[in-house]
Amino acid sequence: MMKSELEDIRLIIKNIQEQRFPDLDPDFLDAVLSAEITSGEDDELALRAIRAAADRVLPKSRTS
Amino acid sequence: MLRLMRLEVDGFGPFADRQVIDFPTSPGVVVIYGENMRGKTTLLNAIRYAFFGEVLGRGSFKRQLHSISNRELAADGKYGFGVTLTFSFGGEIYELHRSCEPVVVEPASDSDYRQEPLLKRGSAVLGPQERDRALARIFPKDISRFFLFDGELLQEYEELIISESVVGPQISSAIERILGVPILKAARRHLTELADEADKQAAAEASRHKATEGWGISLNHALQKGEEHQRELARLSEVQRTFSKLKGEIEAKLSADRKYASLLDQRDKAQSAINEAVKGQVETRAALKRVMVEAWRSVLREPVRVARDAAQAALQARVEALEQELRAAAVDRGHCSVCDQDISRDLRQRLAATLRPTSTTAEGMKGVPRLRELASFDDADRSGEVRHLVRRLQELAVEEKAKGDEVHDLDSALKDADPATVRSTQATYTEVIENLTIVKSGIAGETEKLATLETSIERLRDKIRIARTQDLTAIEARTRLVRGAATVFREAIDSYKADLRQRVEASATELFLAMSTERTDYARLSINSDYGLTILHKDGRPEEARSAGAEHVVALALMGALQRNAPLRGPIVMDSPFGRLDEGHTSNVVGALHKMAEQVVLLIYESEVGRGRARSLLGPRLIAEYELERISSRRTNIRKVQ
Repeated sequence: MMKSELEDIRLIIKNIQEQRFPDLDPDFLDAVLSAEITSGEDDELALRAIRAAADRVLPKSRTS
Repeated sequence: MLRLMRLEVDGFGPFADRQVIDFPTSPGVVVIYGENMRGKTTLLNAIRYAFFGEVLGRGSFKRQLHSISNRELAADGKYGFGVTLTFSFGGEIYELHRSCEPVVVEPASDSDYRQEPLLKRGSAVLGPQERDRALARIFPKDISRFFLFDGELLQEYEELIISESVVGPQISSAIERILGVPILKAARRHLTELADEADKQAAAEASRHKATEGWGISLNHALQKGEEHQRELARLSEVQRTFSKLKGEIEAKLSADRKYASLLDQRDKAQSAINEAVKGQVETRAALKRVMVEAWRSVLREPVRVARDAAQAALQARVEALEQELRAAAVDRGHCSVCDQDISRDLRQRLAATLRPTSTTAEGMKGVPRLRELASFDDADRSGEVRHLVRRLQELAVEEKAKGDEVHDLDSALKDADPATVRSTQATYTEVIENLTIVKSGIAGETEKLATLETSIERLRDKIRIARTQDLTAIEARTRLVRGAATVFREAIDSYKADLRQRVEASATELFLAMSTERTDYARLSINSDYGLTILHKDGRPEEARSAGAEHVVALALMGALQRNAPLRGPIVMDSPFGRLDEGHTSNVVGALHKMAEQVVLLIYESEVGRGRARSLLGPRLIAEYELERISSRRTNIRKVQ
């Protein structure tokens, strides 16, 4: 029953990030949201996906 | 979005044989007509059973699956049933089959059955884990109330505007779930967990360096204590949830007890009707017997008439013969023995000329008493009376059978309720309230301790940052990232909920005004933090005394508003939703159904909305009609209305 994209939620996160946390990587936030959507209610699956997203983003953050 | 495509039921409730409903792919409303006891609620339950393996009875109580088997088949020793639901979701076709098969010859309870759920995506059968995960994602059970609903339960939504209500927060939580809030909450929880994990790494790293060793140890200690408090808080929250759920269940049970009483009343009335029908049959049989005592006479009517005519003719002939005899005697003797006078020669000659030969004898006079008997014979036609009494007898027998079926069905509905437990319900309720108070106080204490600890942890984090080793810098970057993200998601929850409330309020207002018959008086709906809706008049004052019908319309408006604004979307299947509505509201609601969801399935009995009215109100949005056709009290077929 899940809408393919949770546009409303994405938009709110984007707005908060841009206005209040401009240093925070927006790709990471997007990856977290996607991880939560695709993992359903499987906590382990979600945590693994978020860890992987952090690993991807952190080297980029350090170089930027 | 979830869309129903086909429902097949076999041996499920009154559907003894395999019955099928095909849902058209175009958006619109499918109407299924059925009188009481034909299986409307059973169809709603068939969809529920396919997804969740459970069937709800009155008062939202789970029904024993054993009681779902078709009774006619069960009487022949054939137990068990199956439901197959085909639906589309996310561009793929799924086929969900769930059967309940007995594992013993004569099952007596649910433990005597085996359930076999099977989910196919396309042609691939999903394994148990993947199946359960897919079903939880496609149609989470705790939001099913917004998609499969019984008109009777709409009154629950009144709880949303009642402070201190227990059911209210539960519905409110389900509303947030359908609106997608748990995704944000889960993200915040997971990010906080990862931030705590990073904190522990930082504490361990700090402990390895002389300059930060003390702070590292202290941080580690504080984090451990924090975890303990978190665990205790989680435990208490779980206990609170359990008690709250229990409280809600007990309240529902207390409410169901009232319904139970109403069912008992219905049963008593049906039983009285049976007694009346039986008594009526005895009386009618006696009346029939009385009528039948005389009714044989009508069979003899024609023979008696013939005999009477013959006797009449014989008597007439004898009278005529007697007259001739008297004349002959008068001619012979010259004297009339009747008037005792002599007669003249001339008269004797004239009388002699009138004499005719006769063949009758004096025996003919014996016909007089027979004629009297035949004339007194009552041959009135009683066939009309007999027909009327036989018809009345048949009607009473049908009434007795119908009421007998009703009593049987009501007994089934009452079977799950145990009057003995009703008595202890109130005592348990008081106990639960006391426990809840204790748990709430424990939660407040743990929350306070955690806040104090968090201040200490933050101070220690600042001190450790001074060390700035390469590993610590990397860990710190990770902590900043995940903790920052957790903050974003925390703020997003409040922001999203506020935004949702506004949108739900606007959508619900639009639907409410479309469905209400008081459009000139009402201005809009106003939403509270629990998604409870209040009707506002044009002068801005809230409607204080909402009628049952108004509550019903508000609840329907909320349903539609949630569907419009939720990332979770699907069909709405409504069972008899017009019970509390007058004709005007019913028409408005039917006309607005297509605005509530893309696919609406309406289960109604025709006295709620007749076919002509449904067709006229829905117009081209009516995409299919089915009727539940009674074959017998225990057997219903589903027929497509052409």
